[in-house]
Amino acid sequence: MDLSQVYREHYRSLVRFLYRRIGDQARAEDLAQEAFVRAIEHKPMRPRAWLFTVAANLARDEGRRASIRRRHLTLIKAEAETRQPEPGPDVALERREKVRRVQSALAQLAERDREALLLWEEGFSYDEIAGILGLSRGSIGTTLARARTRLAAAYKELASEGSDADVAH
Amino acid sequence: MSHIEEAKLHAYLDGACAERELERIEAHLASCGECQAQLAAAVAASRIASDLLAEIEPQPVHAPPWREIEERAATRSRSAPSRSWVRPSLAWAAMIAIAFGVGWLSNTYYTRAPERLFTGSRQAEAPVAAADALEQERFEQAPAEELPGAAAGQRSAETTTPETQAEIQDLDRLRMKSADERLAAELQPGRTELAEGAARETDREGVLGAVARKRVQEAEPVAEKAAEDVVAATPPTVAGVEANRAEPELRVRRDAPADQARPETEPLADFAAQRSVLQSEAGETAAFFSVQPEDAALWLDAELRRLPDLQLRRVEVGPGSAVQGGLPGLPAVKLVYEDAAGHEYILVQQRVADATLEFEEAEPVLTVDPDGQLAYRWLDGRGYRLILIADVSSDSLRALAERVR
Repeated sequence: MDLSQVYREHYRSLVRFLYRRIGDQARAEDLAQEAFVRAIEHKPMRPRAWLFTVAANLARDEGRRASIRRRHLTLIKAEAETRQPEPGPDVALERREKVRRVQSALAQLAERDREALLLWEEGFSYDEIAGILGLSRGSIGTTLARARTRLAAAYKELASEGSDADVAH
Repeated sequence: MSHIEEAKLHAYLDGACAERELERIEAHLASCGECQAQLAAAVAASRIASDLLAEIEPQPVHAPPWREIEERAATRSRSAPSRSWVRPSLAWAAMIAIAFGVGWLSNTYYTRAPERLFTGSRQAEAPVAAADALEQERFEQAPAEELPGAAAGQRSAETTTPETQAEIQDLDRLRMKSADERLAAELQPGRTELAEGAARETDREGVLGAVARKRVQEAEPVAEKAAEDVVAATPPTVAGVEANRAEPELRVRRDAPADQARPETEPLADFAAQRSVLQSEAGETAAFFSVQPEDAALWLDAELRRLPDLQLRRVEVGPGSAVQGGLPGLPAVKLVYEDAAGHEYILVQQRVADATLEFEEAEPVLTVDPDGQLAYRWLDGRGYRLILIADVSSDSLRALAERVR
């Protein structure tokens, strides 16, 4: 299959998958391009599944590095949190807050559950998800059921915590 | 009829059920209120999850032209023509080849050069290194009938011209001055023998990396070839006969102390010698190189421990000191596996049955390297030191460790 065509058709989907996974658009674009560079080198037979497998691995590495950076930045972050947030339009603030909650809820899922859910949302079939994640096809239904239920529950919990905090203020 | 599992309901919603399953589910749903409620919950969870994920939408994505991506790939392949793991392997191979070359240079003049270049015998040479002196002593004590070429060798020594004798002495002076000679004198006898074999391959192939790899795969044939070369020299000389006789004795001596000497197969003796090379100071700093699984077992001197249900991609051997958390002074075998999704699992093993371990080294340890890579290290009841490295959670890593066969 022509890789340039795969690039045209799936680059945005790959960036979205990575962005949802790591929460940083510039980095998501870098990693998506890196995945395509590697695809040129490896010439995979099934490029779409291969690209998402590589992207999932890159995102996992990125997550580990980010967690190390977070540990180093704990003090700086604590200091920053004591400051008042910048004033801005209410709608934008609300939206940013919602995105942050969804990202936090997503981060609470097990890695395999999160990846299965994101791959499903990008249009992969059960067979493809099983191949990419190295799981049996029969377990994908269980994985997705668990991921969806936990994501909804985690978001609900975070939202209720947020509204409690608003009331307290 | 039993109720439908939640996973099946999600698969049904996602259109991922087989036709027969689909009919069974629909038939059951038609008559089961409880499962209908479950289905409604599954629909809600699925919709909520999709809606929530839709909130995490990136800003409009800028896709650089495809040509840019191709150029990046081309630049990378130009600047890094080989994979990163090849480089340390080549360095390791080059170090072995150099060590063998040095041994060959210094030893071959004493044991082989006279018969090839000057048709002289070893008795005509300058004093030999300690190991050769021992062989010389053995030779002198051997009955004359065991040495068919002795008489011819002595005759050729007698017929050596004064010019040739001077040439030999000049060569000896030059060689004794060189640092290589001093290094060779420190080598074990077994190492010089291996060096001869490796040097022969170097001559034949002219590729250093190939020599090191082939050394492992072809150790036995090379050793036999070396012996054949000596026998084939005409006329059979003292040096040639001596090399033939000394070979089996050297193997036993270098591999085990006299009180532990045991009959060994030829490959085992060769691999034991190579292992001593690996444990040498030069080897400690080197990296891993690929071998066949059966050869790796010989390096380990024990059967390989394996991970079940994974695809074995390659087997590598290297010094323990080159492994983070490895035990220096013992060879380490690295089994690199891959699962269906291309995730890598590395099982490093060292045989420590006869070694004494510090208490803390014998305890199971979970480590995290600066890149966040997890490794689980433990000593099992069969005398193996094992390190499992995989890109999974710590619990999964421990569970995987329990499955090592």
